[in-house]
Amino acid sequence: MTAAVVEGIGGWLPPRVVTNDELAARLDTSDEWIRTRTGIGARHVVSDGMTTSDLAVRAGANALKSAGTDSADMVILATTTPDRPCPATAPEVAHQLGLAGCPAFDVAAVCTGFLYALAAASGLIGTGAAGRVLVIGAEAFSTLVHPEDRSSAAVFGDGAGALLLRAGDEEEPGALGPVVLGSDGALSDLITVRAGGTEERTGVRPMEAQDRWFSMRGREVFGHAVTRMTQAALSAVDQAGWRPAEVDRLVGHQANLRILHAVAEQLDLPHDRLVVHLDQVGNTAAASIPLALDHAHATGRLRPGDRVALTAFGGGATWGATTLTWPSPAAV
Amino acid sequence: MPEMSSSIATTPVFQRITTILDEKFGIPREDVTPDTVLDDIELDSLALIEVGLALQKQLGAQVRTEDLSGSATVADLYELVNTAVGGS
Repeated sequence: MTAAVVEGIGGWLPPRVVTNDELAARLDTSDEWIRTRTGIGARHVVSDGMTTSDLAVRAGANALKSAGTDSADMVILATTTPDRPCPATAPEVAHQLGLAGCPAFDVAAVCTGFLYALAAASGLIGTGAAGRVLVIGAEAFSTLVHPEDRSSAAVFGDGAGALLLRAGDEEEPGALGPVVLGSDGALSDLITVRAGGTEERTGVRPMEAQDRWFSMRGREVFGHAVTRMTQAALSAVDQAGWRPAEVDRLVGHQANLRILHAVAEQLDLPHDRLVVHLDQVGNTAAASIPLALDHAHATGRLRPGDRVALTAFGGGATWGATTLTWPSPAAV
Repeated sequence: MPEMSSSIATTPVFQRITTILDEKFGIPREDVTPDTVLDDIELDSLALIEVGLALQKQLGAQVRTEDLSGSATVADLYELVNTAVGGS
């Protein structure tokens, strides 16, 4: 069967960096508290006037450049923070990338969004509906966080990452394995922005001022995240015909270093198999996996031939995982 | 109940808990008794879940992580895990 093969990779971070010390200057927190609880040292955030599409276009352009092409016949954007509630942001991104006319749509699965987008791209390539798909994860997540919510402000950051996928053979380096996905809507209150949708507009429940901001029940998320990321990774690795111990690099959604460590321990993998990027950029939701891949590729943490497993858990709740053998795209 | 506490202390499940606390969080075994209050050994709320996940893996115990936050002492944690592994 035709496989989706990684042809290019790109990332982009907004220039403004917020350090833990800067947060501690205005909120009741400290560098030590944030590092101990999350492993995060800094995060990038958008400046006034910078939107999710701005981030997505830059990352997408870098992925196209990495593949040495300026063409794609589909754009899929995973995001929790579209430029507007309506329409989707992907058509605007495609337009700005000079890809106007091609199919373009958003995928909403919060921190699992990139895995869901990869599954969609892989399926559309597999059926022949698309030959080359630009898959972008982009988030201006800081815009959802109440400025005085010290827990979320410490965790979340903004950025975008992208993979360009082309039709190829499943035995090639860079070919995506089966993408394992799942969801549990009974956990929809775990990670949420309550206001802004039909629940508010049709008066399903009264909304309060704080309901327009992001909220997360962190402790509960921790347990579910470790369990689901582990199960999804095991399933994806098994379907790839690998044993867990054969995974050279585990690229987990960059939510929290202690979650990543716990997942590695559940899989009996040493911590040095983990790709860790959150120390520099925080949790960038749907952008975290492609940004971590881009950073690891650029810095040599990922080498051609490495057996890589991707796994994520996010709002919904949603989860997903897949595998690939790392190819050798150009770093931009 | 001292008798109950001391009988817990010699069980494999309790030993497993103290081993995890020692290896993962650097809390010496001799500092941990069934009556040890989790707050006193500065085990934060995430650490309790991490201990629970490690126990799940090692013992095959299906402990709901949301139940763990109700544990005040090491004995409470023991009871949850021991029940989950089918102990009395």
